[in-house]
Amino acid sequence: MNKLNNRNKQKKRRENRSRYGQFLLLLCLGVFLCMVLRFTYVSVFKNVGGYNLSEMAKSLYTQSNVISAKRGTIYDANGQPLAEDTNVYTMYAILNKKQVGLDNKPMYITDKEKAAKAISSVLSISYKQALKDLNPSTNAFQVEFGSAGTNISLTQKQKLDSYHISGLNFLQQPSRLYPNGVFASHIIGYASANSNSSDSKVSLTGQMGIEKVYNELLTGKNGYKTTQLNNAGVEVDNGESVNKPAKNGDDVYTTLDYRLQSLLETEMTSVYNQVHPKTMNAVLMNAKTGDILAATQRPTFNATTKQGLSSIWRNTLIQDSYEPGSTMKIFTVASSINSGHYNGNATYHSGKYLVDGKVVPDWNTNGWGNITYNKGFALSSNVAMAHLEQQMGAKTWRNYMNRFQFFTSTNLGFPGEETGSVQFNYPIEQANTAFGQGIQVNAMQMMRALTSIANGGTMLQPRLVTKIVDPKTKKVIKSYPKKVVGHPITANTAKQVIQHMEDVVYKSYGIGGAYKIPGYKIAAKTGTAQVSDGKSGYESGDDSYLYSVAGIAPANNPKYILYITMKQPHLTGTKTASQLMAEIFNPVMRLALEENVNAESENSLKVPSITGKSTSEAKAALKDAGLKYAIIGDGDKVLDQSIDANEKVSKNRMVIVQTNGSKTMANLKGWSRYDVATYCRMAGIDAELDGDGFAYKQSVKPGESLDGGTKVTIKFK
Amino acid sequence: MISKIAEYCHKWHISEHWKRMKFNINAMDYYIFVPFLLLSVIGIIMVYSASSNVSTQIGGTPTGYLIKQSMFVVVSIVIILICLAGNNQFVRKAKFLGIFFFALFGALILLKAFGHSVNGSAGWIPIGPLHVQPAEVAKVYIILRMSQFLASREDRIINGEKSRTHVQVFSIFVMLFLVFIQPDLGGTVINLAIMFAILFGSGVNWRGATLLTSAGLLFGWISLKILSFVFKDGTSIYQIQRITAYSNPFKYANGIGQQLVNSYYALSNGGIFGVGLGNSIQKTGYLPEPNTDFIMAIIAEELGLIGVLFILFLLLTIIVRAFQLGIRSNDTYDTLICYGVGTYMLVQAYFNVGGVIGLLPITGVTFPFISYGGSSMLTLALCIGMILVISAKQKTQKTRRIRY
Repeated sequence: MNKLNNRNKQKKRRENRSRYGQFLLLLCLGVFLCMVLRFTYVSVFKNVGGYNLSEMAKSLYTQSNVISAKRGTIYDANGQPLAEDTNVYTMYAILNKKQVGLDNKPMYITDKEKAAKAISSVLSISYKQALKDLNPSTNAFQVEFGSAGTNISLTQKQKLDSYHISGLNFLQQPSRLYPNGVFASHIIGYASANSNSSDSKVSLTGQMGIEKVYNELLTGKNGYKTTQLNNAGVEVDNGESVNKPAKNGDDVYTTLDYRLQSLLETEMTSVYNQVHPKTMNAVLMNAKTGDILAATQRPTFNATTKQGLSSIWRNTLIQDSYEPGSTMKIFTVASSINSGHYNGNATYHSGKYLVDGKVVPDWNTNGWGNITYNKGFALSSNVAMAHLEQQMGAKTWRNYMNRFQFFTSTNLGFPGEETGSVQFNYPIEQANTAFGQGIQVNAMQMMRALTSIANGGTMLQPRLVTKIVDPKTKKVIKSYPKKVVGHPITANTAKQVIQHMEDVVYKSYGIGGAYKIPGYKIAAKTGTAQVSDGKSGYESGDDSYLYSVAGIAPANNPKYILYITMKQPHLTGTKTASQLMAEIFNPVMRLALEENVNAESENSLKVPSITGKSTSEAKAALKDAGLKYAIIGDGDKVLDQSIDANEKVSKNRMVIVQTNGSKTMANLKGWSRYDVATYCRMAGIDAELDGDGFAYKQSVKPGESLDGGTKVTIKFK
Repeated sequence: MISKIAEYCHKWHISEHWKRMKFNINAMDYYIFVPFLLLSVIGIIMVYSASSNVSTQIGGTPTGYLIKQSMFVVVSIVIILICLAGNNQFVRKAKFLGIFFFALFGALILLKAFGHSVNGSAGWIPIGPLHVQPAEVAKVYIILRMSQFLASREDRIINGEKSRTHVQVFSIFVMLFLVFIQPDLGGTVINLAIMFAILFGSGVNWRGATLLTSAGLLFGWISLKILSFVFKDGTSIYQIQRITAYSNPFKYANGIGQQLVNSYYALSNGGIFGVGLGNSIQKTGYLPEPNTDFIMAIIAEELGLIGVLFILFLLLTIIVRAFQLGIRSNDTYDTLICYGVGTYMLVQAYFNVGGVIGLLPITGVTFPFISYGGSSMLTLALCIGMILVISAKQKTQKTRRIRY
């Protein structure tokens, strides 16, 4: 009975199993039917929920065919790029040990010490910091390296690649490269990536300086290529394809001189770091053309990294007006001579002078007794200027201010220019303007006025851009020729003023002795102006002055004008303001003058193309060319050369060659400041340059190894 | 090494089995074996086509995946031959199942503790060239364990004695919980489906079982619709984002819906006849995982609807055959194995294709025999081997019956 029952149960269960199996089979057929129907529907009708798939896919493939226009390059006067389109890289290191490639090849950092060494030798990060970054406290999948690991250039990336470090990866992004870092930053400005909302394309837009003023020309026009892909994803020409090539942006050629600008930046930084003035300006101009060869300001920023951008947005060369102080006396004397009122050998009583019961003091209030006006100018006597102003009369003086075109725009093209003003109602105010107080000008206006002194009475428009060129056709689209904007004084007057300025430098009593440059004649005028507190009075205290110097050289046939202002430095007592400004003025002017001499003599030596060649080949090529050279790094491949191939140079120029491999300090003895600055920049080390002339002492011994954290002090004499 | 193999051969009585091999090969079920071979070959070709682009991108050779997948297929065939020689006896042994259980359990815990996620989904444990996915292996374990358990306890169940089925089910639930928290929702659901198919197929009242299964499917479908509605505006929970992406892919075409939208594009590009082998555009970077999760989309693009239907037909043949063998078998164990294997392939295929054509959220499940992957290939080979043995057994019984 039980057994029979069991058998029945067994039979029942078997039937249940079969039935459920049949159900599963039915379910299976249903599921497959569902899949087949859906597949068929999508594949045949190419439409899901009202979305036309084939249209959408087509636009997906077409969209990726927008041809981005390349933004134009900004060049210096010699064709050296100052701003160009590039890709920059952000570096990250994979630490996760499970990251292996197909062939079990590790794709993570296997040797952290080796990696840190390589990173620190290429990027501005110390070995210690790099190693610390590679050993995060948490169990990180990957790490980045702070600001040192961003905005990495292609050259730097290639250098890092040459170490073959597994796990070191780079993200590429389009960017604007400013290869020289801090380099006339407020003038060239910068362009930043903005994503266009309509097509989500990233494009570069100028935000400041030349990048902004010439943005439209630099940008160019995007092209597009709507290729009709056939089903196989291959382009077909069925007449519907439209191919509109991109019009690349035009190139802007500036008047800046790469070498002079580099040196000016180095020297400005050095002085800025010593006394931290509120602002500093410096402009070097070709007196014969009005070309701005070098110009910069402090504080400034690094256009590639944007470091420092937040601290000052203004271009202080034209957007700051200030009381120039004693450099204004150049124009007082020039006006006096030109209007026929000047008698240099006449004497006056220096020290103090009362105008309407108000005191005009000399900087030395005891004075120097009765002295001639000639000597008064060299001693920078305010009393002398007050007399000169009164002799020619306020009306004449005011008229000359207009002739020198103070208070009008310098027409550099930059918006927001501060054109200045003058307080000229009362005799004391009129007298004050004669020595540069109570009158506000901007640095570029001073430069423009100075061209008339340096250029035989002919005043020139300051020029920053010479031409705009279509990169493809090489056709000049716009050119900006030299432009005469006035003749405020005669050639004879100009000559006399320069002689007075030479006295400032060379006479025993002259107060500009610091600006002597051996081998050249310099004409200069210094200035120390009290800085207005912005209300009615002047700021007080030792650090309340704006120091300036305007120099012209060579005095017998002026070619260069260099004007430097330094507002409210914190002088420490070890160096005077004049000495500090001379640290900028002398090397920069010297380099300009030397370049001038070299340009007049033959530049017989042609720099060979060595980038990408082996180090030994490069050495041989440089030796054959008869050039001096220095090698950075012990690698076997040349990555960069300091002077471009095919450039013609004089035999005393030094070519600095960068190779891969680990770097050691060179013996810099006898090198010029320019070469040392170039060397340190290419080696990626922080340098403090001290003194003028040639290097004789260095804080890091030759042969010591270098990394991104190395700091070196070099002394010159 | 050789002596070791010899030792194993001796242990497993392989030499004896070889004698029976000839017999078994004569009884080979070509309705299973031929579709399997065809699918495997198509798989190799399509993995190569879909991956050549991707593998060069990650620093390998274009043929990297081709070579590996070919090796997996060769090993699969070896596994099937070993199965045919073994008559399914070894996999029924309590000791084997015990070791299997602890190894799998240990692997799952190991993975949770030290494993790393791939694509936000469950990971794998590297053993030599193979990346073992415990979630994949669990499917075989459940088929083997549940079938063996229920078949061996059938007498007790009939006699109304304690079968302790709930203990067994509980242990599997614990294991599936580990799979779930990997997290691998797709893997968990497939495993559950296999377990319930075997439980319901074990001989319980078929009306109840059918009703419960249907209710379960309906419940799943309704939950999916409710979740899609509630989270139609998106959420930060990763699993639910997939549901949002499934319900409205075009709204999130540049984000979470990107995979499905690009899968649709692939289907649309392919149309009925396809763009031709090797000509997929979508595989060049538009569609992620072209050689695993979305290989069916790439096949639809290159070989068209025709190619897809052919592949579905081949797989359907195997699954129908598996269920058919189960229905016909008198042996409880064999029936349950067949149901388990059939359900496995059915659910796996549906989850994969469902994700590709927008019938289900994307769960990161591979397509049987076609998608790249060693774990899945070898697991499936074992399943094919087992049902081939069952088929061979039925054939010989049939011939014997005829002979007598």
